[in-house]
Amino acid sequence: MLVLQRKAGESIRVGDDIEIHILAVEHDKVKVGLVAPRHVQIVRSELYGSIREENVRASRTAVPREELLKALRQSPEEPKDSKKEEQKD
Amino acid sequence: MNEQTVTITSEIYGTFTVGADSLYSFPRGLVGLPEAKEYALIPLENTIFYILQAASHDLSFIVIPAHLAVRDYDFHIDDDTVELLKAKKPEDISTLLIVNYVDSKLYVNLKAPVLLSHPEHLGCQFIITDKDYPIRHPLSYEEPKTC
Repeated sequence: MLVLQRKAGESIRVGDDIEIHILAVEHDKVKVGLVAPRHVQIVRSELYGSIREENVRASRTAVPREELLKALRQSPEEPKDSKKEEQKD
Repeated sequence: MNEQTVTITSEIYGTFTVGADSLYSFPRGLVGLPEAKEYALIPLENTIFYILQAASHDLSFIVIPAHLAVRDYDFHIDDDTVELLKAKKPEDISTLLIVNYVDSKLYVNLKAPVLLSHPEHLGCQFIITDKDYPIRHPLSYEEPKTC
């Protein structure tokens, strides 16, 4: 890990298109401003970690078909806008 | 209707042959799974669910259109995401929720829905930051408002 010391008002560049601005430092909190291209999603690490875990879990879990059919049965009637395009062989 | 088809194999759900119109590009991939950048959306027969299956990776998800799973679900999509999806109007974007199966119960991820843009066949997983939605919300079927 690269460790840099910066003061409020200074910034760091990551590659050609990511810029990290240290806006303010108050007690134990640092306010950071980020400039990045739109394909780079910026979120707090804790949130990213929880969503990643949920995604990985969902991708590894085989949901039993009967559970999915049960969810359908709970519906009073089949929704008209649930598109069921027939799979052509 | 003589369009190109692609055959995709999922370890969990089997082999599917889909048309190019079922494929969506995900420039960012999904959160934590950036390697897969192309997914097929396949209706799961006789259900209200779909399979979101990576075209060239063995990654598959069960998803449900958000309006069938939850009521009063709304959030703001930032300009960068709208631009990424090349969406011109709200109707261009449809919202899907990733289903999870934990301790024999079905849940949906309301915090990070999958957005698909139809005209451009682009997709992304959008993290909602303006509302405090749960990552794991029990799935209870909702009757669509418009019948």
